[in-house]
Amino acid sequence: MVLRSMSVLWETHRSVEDSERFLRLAEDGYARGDFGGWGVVLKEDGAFVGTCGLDAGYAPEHARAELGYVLSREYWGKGLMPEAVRTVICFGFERAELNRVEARYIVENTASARVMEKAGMTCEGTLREREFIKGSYRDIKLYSILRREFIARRPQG
Amino acid sequence: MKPYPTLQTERLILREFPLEDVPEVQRLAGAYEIARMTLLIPHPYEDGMAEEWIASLRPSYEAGEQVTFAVVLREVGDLIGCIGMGLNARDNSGELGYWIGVPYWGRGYCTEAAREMVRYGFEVLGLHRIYANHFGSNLASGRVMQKLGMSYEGTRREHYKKWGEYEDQVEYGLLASEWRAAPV
Repeated sequence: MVLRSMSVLWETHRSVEDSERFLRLAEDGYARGDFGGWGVVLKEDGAFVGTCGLDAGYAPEHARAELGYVLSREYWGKGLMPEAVRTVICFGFERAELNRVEARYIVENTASARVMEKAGMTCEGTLREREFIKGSYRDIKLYSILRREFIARRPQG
Repeated sequence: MKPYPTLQTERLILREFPLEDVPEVQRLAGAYEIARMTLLIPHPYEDGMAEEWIASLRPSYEAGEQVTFAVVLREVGDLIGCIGMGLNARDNSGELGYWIGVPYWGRGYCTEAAREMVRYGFEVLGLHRIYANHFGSNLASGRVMQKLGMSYEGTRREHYKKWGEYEDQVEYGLLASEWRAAPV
């Protein structure tokens, strides 16, 4: 199901045309209200390492979307997901005209907390015993980044 | 067909909305103050909308998706508002929502109805968690949640665009174990 809607986030960029083609693809999808569930691919060897996207909880009437991602375990700890998340957040604010990008994770997922924080997201709270996952009730942490924060943090030029 | 529950408090009855309530629903929910502080109430509240909404309640109750009550004054039988809970079977949770018509504000009716809904949710429905949200600018609703013994859990900043302005979504939550230890 995920693969069907996938389009590759990064391919080994051989030329400026490759980058333009990606952006056009992404923009076409966004114009349809579809943020994919992009595949994340390593530039250096083309390895497919995970997915990252804004396709959960897209609410255009509120200019908001929810970030989700999955990273293959063997690629953890290399800063790959923060890089992908920052890119997707950038797309959300610069191309998709969002005001808010949010994410939710179970409290035990401290790796996700670090990814969120490295991507400039703020923790907004903890919903206690909110979701029943794999046999027990889990606390859910809320994170978000707002347009005004993204713009303020963006390096000029 | 599942029997629709009827609940009672000292001053109020919580019961199913019959079609007879349509004009009063339209009048009360049509107020700017009510529509401004909720997400789904249309504004202006036109003819036909109340019928359509009331007709949707029984099927979604039967499907276990939500339970919604008319809030009625016991003594005189007047409809004064609405209270309900959206239900999630997987998470065994209920999301509490309510509005009380402007002419009936300031008398503690909302808290009284909500207390009974919370009891119903934990005692009868066996929920694990009941939570509620309010717009950042709707502090009165937050005070009701506090009086119910709910804990502030977080704020989704600029979560909604309501009539052109961003509103935070503030969330409060209450667990069954907390409620049993200290029923409000």
